[in-house]
Amino acid sequence: MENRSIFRQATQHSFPVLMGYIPLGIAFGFVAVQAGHPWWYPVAMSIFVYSGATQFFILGLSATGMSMATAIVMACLLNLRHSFYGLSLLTKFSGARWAKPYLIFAITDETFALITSINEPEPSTRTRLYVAISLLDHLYWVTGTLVGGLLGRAVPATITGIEFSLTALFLVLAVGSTERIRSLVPLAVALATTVVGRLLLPSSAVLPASIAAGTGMLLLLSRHTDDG
Amino acid sequence: MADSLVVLAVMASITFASRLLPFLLFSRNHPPRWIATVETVLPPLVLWLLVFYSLSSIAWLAAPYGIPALAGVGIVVLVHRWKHNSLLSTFSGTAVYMILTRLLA
Repeated sequence: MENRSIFRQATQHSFPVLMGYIPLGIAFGFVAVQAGHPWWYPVAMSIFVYSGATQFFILGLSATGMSMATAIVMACLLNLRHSFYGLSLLTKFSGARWAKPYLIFAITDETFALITSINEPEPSTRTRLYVAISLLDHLYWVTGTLVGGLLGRAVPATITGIEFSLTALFLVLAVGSTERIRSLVPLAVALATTVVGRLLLPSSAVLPASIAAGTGMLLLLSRHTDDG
Repeated sequence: MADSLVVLAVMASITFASRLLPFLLFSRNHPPRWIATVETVLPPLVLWLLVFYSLSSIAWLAAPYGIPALAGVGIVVLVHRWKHNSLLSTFSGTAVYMILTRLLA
């Protein structure tokens, strides 16, 4: 397949991420500059860290004056979900060669969701399509951050509630993946582990802990089904 | 300034390491069989976890009692099941959330 048609496909696939990353990137850049950072600092984070949760966490760090050791432990927990994502991408990225380091660097919640939910492309074009999607998503995030950073210097905050677009984006992807597997079990497990996690754990540990617990529960359930 | 650059470098390294880890562990020897099950069940689980996690910071016991968020979620699910258009679902849900947040404030 031609590179141009791969690029067109990637643009179509990544369109929902564009709608999520531009406003969220703007929000991030805006908040960072309002918190006293120069405009290029959030942009550098979006280029080199490229993880919304971690970047908001960094902003929180400078506000609370937490010790570096605590910050490192919390950041590891916060990022644990990326390792779980990688498990689902081992085979998809196996033939990527030169592009593999970038594909691995660019794993985010949304790019993971896109790559695992689109129909498996033919092997000859697979890597190029994944690279195009990853680059576009990265570009949306950096662009949004830059716009937000520049706005943060010029305009006072007026838009509230735009952050819900991220929840809406996750929800759209979740509904789609649930329709594909025709099972409400992951939904129920996710709800249960989040509620229990919220009651028992500090908020930074809820996501990694519930991903670990939920995966374990689903594995046990699927083994049980295989036996019976 | 030097401090914030150190923080950036450390956090960028931790984030990249978390993404790299499974590829380092399983690149030579094939991953164990349970990995295959993980690959099928993980995506929907993680997506629902992200949904519930992003909703869980809402103050359910204070006005407006999470009503804008619940309405937004309802609209997203309904519109998505109706039209299957990600953009339309995301937009309409967010719009309802923003309007209700302002009306009920």
